[in-house]
Amino acid sequence: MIVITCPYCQEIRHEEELTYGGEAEIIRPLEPEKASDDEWTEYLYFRTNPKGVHQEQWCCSGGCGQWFKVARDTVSHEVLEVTTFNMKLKTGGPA
Amino acid sequence: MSGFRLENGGRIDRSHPFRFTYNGRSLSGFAGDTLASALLANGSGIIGRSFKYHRPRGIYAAGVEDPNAMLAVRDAHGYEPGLRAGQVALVDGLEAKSVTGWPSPDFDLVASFTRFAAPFMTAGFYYKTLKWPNWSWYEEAIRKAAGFGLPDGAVDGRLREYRHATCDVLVIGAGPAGLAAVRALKGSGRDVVLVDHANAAGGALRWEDADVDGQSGMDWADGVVSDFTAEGGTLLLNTFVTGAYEGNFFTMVESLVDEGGLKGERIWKLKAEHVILATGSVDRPLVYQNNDRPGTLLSSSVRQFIGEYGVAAGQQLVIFTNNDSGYLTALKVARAGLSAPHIIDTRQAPSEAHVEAARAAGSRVHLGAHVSNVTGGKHVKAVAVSGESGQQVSLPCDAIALAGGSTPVVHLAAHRGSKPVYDEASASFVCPTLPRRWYSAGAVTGARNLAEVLAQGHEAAQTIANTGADVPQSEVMLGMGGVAAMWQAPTGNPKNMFVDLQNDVKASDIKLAARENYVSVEHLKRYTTLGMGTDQGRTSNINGLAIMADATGRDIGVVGTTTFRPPYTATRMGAIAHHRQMDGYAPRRLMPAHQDHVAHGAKFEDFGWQRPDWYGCNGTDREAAIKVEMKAVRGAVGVFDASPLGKIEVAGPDARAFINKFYVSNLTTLKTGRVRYSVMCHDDGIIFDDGVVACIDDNLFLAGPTSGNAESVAAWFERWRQTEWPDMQVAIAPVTSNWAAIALAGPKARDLLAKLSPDFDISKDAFPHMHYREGNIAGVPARVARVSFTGELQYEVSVPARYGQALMQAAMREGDAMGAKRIGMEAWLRLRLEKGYLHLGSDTNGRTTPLDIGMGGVVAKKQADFLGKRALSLPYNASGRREELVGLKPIDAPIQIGGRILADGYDSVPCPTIGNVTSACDSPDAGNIAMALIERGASRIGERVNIYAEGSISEAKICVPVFVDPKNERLHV
Amino acid sequence: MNYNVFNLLWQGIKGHNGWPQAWRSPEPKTRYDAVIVGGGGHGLATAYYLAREYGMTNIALLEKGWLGGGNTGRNTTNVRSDYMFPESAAVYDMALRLYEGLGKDLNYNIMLSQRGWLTLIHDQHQMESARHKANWLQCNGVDGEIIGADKVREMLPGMEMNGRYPVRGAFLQKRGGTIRHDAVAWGYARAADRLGVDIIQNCEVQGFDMADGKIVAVNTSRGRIETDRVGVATAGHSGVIAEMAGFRLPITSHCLQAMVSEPVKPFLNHVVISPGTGVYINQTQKGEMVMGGVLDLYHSYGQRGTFPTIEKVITSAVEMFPTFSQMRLMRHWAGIVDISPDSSPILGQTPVENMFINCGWGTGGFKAIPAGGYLLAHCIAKGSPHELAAPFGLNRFRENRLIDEGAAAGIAH
Repeated sequence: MIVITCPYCQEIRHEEELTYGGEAEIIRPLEPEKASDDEWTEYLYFRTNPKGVHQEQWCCSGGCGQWFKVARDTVSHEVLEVTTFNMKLKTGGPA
Repeated sequence: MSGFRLENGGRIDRSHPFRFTYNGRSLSGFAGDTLASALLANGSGIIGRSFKYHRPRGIYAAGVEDPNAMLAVRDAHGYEPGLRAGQVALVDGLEAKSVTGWPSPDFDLVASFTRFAAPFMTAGFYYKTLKWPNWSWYEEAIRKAAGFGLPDGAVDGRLREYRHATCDVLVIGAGPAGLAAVRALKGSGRDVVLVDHANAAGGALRWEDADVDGQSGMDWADGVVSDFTAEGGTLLLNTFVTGAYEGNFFTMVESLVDEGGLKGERIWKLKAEHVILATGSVDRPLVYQNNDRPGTLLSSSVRQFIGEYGVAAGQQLVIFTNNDSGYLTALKVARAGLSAPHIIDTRQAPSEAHVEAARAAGSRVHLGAHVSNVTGGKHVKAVAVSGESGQQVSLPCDAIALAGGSTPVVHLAAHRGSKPVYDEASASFVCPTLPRRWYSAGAVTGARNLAEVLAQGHEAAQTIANTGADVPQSEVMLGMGGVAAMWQAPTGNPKNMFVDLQNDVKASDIKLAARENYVSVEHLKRYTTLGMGTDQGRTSNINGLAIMADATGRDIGVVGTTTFRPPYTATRMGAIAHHRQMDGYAPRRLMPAHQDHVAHGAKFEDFGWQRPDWYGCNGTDREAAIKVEMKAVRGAVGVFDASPLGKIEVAGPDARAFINKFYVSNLTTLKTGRVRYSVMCHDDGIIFDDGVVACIDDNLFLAGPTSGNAESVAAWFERWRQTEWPDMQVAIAPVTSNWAAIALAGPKARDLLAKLSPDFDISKDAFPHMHYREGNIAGVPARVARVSFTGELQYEVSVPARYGQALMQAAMREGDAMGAKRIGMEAWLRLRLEKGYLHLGSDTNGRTTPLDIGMGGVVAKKQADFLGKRALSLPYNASGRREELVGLKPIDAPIQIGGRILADGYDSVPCPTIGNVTSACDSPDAGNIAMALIERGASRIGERVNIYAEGSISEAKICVPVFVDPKNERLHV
Repeated sequence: MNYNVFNLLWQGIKGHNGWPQAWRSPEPKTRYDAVIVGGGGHGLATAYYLAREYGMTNIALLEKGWLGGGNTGRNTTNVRSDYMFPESAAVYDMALRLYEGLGKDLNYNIMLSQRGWLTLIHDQHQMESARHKANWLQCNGVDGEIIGADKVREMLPGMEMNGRYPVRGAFLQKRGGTIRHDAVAWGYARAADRLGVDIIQNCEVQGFDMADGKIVAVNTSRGRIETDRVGVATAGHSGVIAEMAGFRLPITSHCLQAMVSEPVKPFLNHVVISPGTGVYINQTQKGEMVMGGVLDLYHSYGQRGTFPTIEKVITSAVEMFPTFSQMRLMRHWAGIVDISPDSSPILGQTPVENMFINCGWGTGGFKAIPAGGYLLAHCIAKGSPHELAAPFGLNRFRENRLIDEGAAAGIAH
């Protein structure tokens, strides 16, 4: 059972009240027409898949509706860090 | 002779006798009995047959660890096809039935066959045979032998409750360790929940002879409990903690019992800050020849049956032990006034204190000895005892108590990933490393006497909150220690030594698994089925893996345990399913005018909303009614409830720029009061929604996604706004269910709208096709879009949802004279097919791009980026080998929806195909028509294709997908 | 020694003392012609077909734990091949056809029970989709048919026909059914071992030694093993292995749960899935109901499930079969599945020249084992993919040529 305190509304949310959104730092290329086919499909389909700390997006969908970022251990499901979407996570990420 | 009720003793209420039945026989018991104790008290010897060999089996244990006592039970509240007798509180009128053995457990005909076949039915024998001619040939017969009872087909009507809770400290187990913990937490101010599966606190103190702090164990326990509840502590009895999950989250099942039986269950979802695991242990049996005969019980259960229920397992017991606890049983039996039991101790030199105490009570103690065989086919009659020197004696008896050491109940810690490790001193697996903020105390740690148990419970609590309380003291001299493992009797035939009684796994099976190299403990389990029964190997797993360790020359710790999985005890599925059935499972969404639809005979379909498929008021059969509805739209006017259609307001200075990022059409040129149709894609270029967008003013747009995607499109907009374009000044408001929408479609739609008294000009020129107006209709605020899904003059009138039914009724009242009809979904969809408008999800699939549906020109004209644009130029999307949406007209037979278009030159299947019929219907005006996705279809207009559907092949001609009004004259009237 | 009724009888008389090891437990050699990573069904099948079909016998299979301990031993044992895209149909039907002969082929009874797989139809739209599917399957040469509500009622006693999602009929694949899952792993292991393959358990791959963009050796917890070719069949852990070899895969790992009730007398004699509830159920030969449902939606390597999903599956099962409310949930567990963007497998070459991969089966891995093994074996032996595997290469993502069966069906698979 994943339980996260939403960094926006500060409420404790159970996984049933949350929506998972995949890897955190996926940025759509700013100029899509200039991206090569490889760059575009990399953005579309390729994701880090770490066994361990994963930076990811969650939405407080049963509450305030805000998307935020979480660093979580994908084995133990321990939530290690939570931050608002405009911040970068300090935990995990590319070595 | 087998079990019977003692004259005195036990915690049962002898003033409240109960009658119950077992296999139709009327028996008696008392309040406070379990079904297991009551059956034993009535001398029920054989209560079931084993799974594989149909060997007779009797009551084996007092609790859920019993592998044998699975019975079908009916009480005043319901029926269950398989329950552990030790788990069922006896009530008056209870009906229990055996569920194994044919025709009965006492007299089982299959057993005479299996006795002969047993040598060939070793572990995994079916892997080696039954391959010819094929497995299915044997399957039916094998399935007949499976399972316990049969569900009776009824829906379980027991009470079901859910409770969510949190606490500071969860103490699991209200035995001496758990009680010492709550006692030590007194005054700490912590919110404590104490849970026990029994119907009263005390654990083993309820049946053991023990003193704590100078009082009897139970007096001490009662005192602790009353202090605990007086201070506001929560005591949950009849409650199993069934699972431990991440975040110190627990599931618990509380049985709600009344005089009629199991009234229901309450499922707790509890999140605890700290956890004290005081779950105790269960006794382990010993493995020797014919150790499964009825009359064989776990030693601790023999004590529990005497102490808690006043039931003796037999007149003359033999106790077979490898540790001190067997002596406790001997003393308990002697004190109950029964013949002093023989003690057969595998050890040469056990503690003098125990031996002397037992001898003083009249027991004969056989040291360095073991049971080598049992006589008695349907019940134990005697044991053969082998001493160290090899001499054998035969001891007559009617019950055998087994004390092979204890197995700590580490399940919950293991659910959380704590690894059980082998502890030589207690010859058991314990969990020394626990999850964070967990502590363990008592027999679950391998503790060997009451003083140690109490001290551990106390200490665990003091780690959480140091209250300075004193440690409870116990003077008990005797304990459970001194275990010297003997995993398998040194003499006797391993082919009749049972390790797992429920699944008939024998010592010889484990050796066979070792010989065949199924040596991983998981392979052992799966190959032999060891521990895979309803008891989940509580009494068998450790013996089994120890025998495997011995057979492969490894340490027990190296072999390890199999994975512990929730639930700790099986949980009734009806309790989990809660009340969430039928509409509680997935609530039906009703449109504002639902009652009006019902009143007019609507036949509903579930489209996420309950929508009329067709109306009974338009005809008595579906096809006829649909034709009436279609004709009304083409000839007069139809009234269609479009309320579920998505409505999303996009507002703010950047609203136009924002919404332009989603739709493939250019919306920068959309003028105020105008409407445009478009589609939107995910960033992979695949269409995922279509609909119209209205520009209400420069800062406010109304997007109209399909009803099925109303929520997901709003969430999609919102996600992009927050995560990718946070600087855009725009707000998104999903308002789908705020508005009811009624579509008026047909040549008389304007006349009908006029009757509804709009306060704005709706004339042809003032309100043309693809325009949007706001005002009042029938005196209420309305939003009106002149758009068309049918190819006719059409208005979509939205009013605040509370007026939806009134608007529907007003439209039909006013329209009656002009031939207005209510229109269902099916007619609506056929009308749009006639016009060649696509229906998302039917005419598009998970590979369709805007280029495939003829929107290539629109895409090419749009300069700005939009979601999905870049992907349209990826190699495959641009390959020209795509399926494109076209129309079809039949040549010979009618075209069927779902037909496959065969590749050119094929007229029989199997063969390659190039597309499918996505929509098809019989049109009153155009005859049989269809749309299809066909590879390169757009460039093949006029060509013929073969279509395969349900066994036959027909021919059709590809055409432009418009079947009525190709010049759009009707749209612009 | 062959497994047959005569040997079983003879050994029964002799006390079963003559059965040999089902497979050896050899020490790893320092060099093999090929190394297969992953001792689940796919890896073991790869080893078997590599030895039998392609004559490569100096090969090793490395398993970090015990054989079949991953998804092979954690699934709901269902098999079917009712896939629509011809590329998928070819692969899954190859798997089912191989399964149909596998017991005799391997001389090991895998207990294939072709009891029929029913996908319920709840509404008009699903009926139309099911018709399309049946037509498409028949064009692909795969069996599949629509049956009416009356026939469903007859086949599935106890099924609620008029529940929240009423049952209007079903799509039936008669050749679908169940298999004893462990037997697949053990049967392949025994057969591969008999062909000389070294199956090495408790041997974890820790890294690769590379030279000129090629693997020259595999470093393991049991030493360094030189090899020319590496095949990877590690399902949910493929990403971990790919990372060791220095590339990324377009897959994410998710937890898929399964659960089982206590045994009751058999009354559900077919496999059934409801698109309304998303839950699938079969009753084992021992009488337990095996149930599965949707993925836990977040990324996970924890081989344990979460309770909300269990509640959903159980609630759904009771919705489908109300009398299940009288039965008890005995055990629940989970596996880690590798989900690709189109839920179709990834087969063939990788950015590392002599490493070949078989992953991305998602929730459909068990039913594909024989084909997955066969096709990976081909790729290892020949250095290029089999024609049936070619559409499933990694390059399809670069071309956006996805094979999204789920999107075509509207039903998760």
